[in-house]
Amino acid sequence: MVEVKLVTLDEPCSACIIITNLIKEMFKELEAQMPEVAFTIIEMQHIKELKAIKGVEVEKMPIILIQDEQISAGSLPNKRYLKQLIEEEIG
Amino acid sequence: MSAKKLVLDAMRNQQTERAPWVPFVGCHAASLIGVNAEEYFKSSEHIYNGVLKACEEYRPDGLPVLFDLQVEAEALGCELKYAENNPPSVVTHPLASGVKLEDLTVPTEKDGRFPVVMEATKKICEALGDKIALYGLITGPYTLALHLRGTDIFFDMMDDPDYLHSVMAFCEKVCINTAKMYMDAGVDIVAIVDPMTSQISPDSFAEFVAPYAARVFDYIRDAGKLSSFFVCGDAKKNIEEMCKCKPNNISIDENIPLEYVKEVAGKYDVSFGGNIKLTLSLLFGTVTDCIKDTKNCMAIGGTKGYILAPGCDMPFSTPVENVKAISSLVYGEIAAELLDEGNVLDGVDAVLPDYKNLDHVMIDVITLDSESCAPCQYMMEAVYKASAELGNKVAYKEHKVKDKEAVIMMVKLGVSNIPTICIDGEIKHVSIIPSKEELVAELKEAVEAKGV
Repeated sequence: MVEVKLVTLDEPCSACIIITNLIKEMFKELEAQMPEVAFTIIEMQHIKELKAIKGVEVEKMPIILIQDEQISAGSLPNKRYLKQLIEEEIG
Repeated sequence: MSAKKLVLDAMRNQQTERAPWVPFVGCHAASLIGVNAEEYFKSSEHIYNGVLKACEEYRPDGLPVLFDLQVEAEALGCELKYAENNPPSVVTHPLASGVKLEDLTVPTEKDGRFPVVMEATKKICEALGDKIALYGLITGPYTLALHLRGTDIFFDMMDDPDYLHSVMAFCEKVCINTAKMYMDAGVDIVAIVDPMTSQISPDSFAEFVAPYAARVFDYIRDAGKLSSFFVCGDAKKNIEEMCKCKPNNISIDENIPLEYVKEVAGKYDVSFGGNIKLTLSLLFGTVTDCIKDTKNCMAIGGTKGYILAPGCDMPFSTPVENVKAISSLVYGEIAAELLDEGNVLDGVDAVLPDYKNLDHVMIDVITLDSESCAPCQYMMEAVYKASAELGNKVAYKEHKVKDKEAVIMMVKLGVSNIPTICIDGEIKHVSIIPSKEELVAELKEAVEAKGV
């Protein structure tokens, strides 16, 4: 199963809250279209928890990982591009 | 000099005896008075008590009366999800779910939570207005448009720019009316907070944000008040465009080098502020981390037109002692030199090439390590492919910041994000991987300019 993860802080700043929320909306939309994909949201209490998350390379939140490969750091991805990347993983 | 005058002088880009201290206390004020964020944002009494408590604890020269970028959106019909320890989030976007733009009306003092917010603002201005500078924060036009339209806004920029312009024109009216409400309530400074502009290019900013934001700043100036333009995230590329909108001040977070902002803002006679790290220093750091970070900001910012402030609104659980330590440093109660420690980079050096006199164009790529970091790998691949087209006229080098020398190179080149491509010492691509065609065109231009 393809796994897509959103990693964010439990208490992000105002800008990160908006971006994180929009990514959550994208996940919800894509989840309905892609039942074979597992979408997970990880809200960390402390930034130290990042070390335990496989695939994180650039420590700037929010982070999106597809199959433990980081595809964004601190930015809002294009919805169509995100979908395309996931579809490529589905094959 | 009074605390308030210190802020107002700095806002006007004048010399001050010290950098004024403006902690952006938003939902954090709720924790100071022992209520949760939802209770706080819905009660004028809590907002009033929270700001007064922050003033007592942190001895600021200025404070925002509220930091909530969802007030306008809620009054316009966006549904919000409230949280215990964060500002609320927008969960529905009316203009993406059937509501027409012409059905929306500019919110007044009677709509949404504006009655609560304006009552609190008036009371805070009465209590503190003669002592410290008070900021009214309004949601910037682009962030508000995004709240109303959702992520479809990014497609509108390409597919239906006329429609987006009409949405932005409406948001400008909302901004102006909200600014008016805050000014009538007694604030000294109106800040347009537009963090989502960090997600767009300077060209898009110039087309879709600048005309609307500039008119809001004109309105504030004509009303005899001062203004600030807040951004969060990696908005370095847009700083110049922000300055062109003619605010009195711009405020940034830790994603943008303060020295860069100082230089750019200075060209436009715009003052600047912010940059204390929200997460690494304020929320998760120690008192020492906060003092060191603040000391660094004060050293770079100086005392002409710099306002010492966090990068954005402080998280709910920010330890009080961390903020108090910053206040102590500001008031000279801590000898900063006592905190100096040895630097792990002492004795390490790296020399920048004499780019002008090289017989080729030099590409420096700052990476974490292209063997282990996917974005770094893709950026290096773009460089390999583009360089191959120009033979020995172009050379490249990867600087992995795992090496101390690479960190020095990074600092000397002014790079703050990884991965980054520099061509002949100039930063060209930050985080975003260029296409081969784009990079080849840039390299050809550099080769021609150099005559190699």
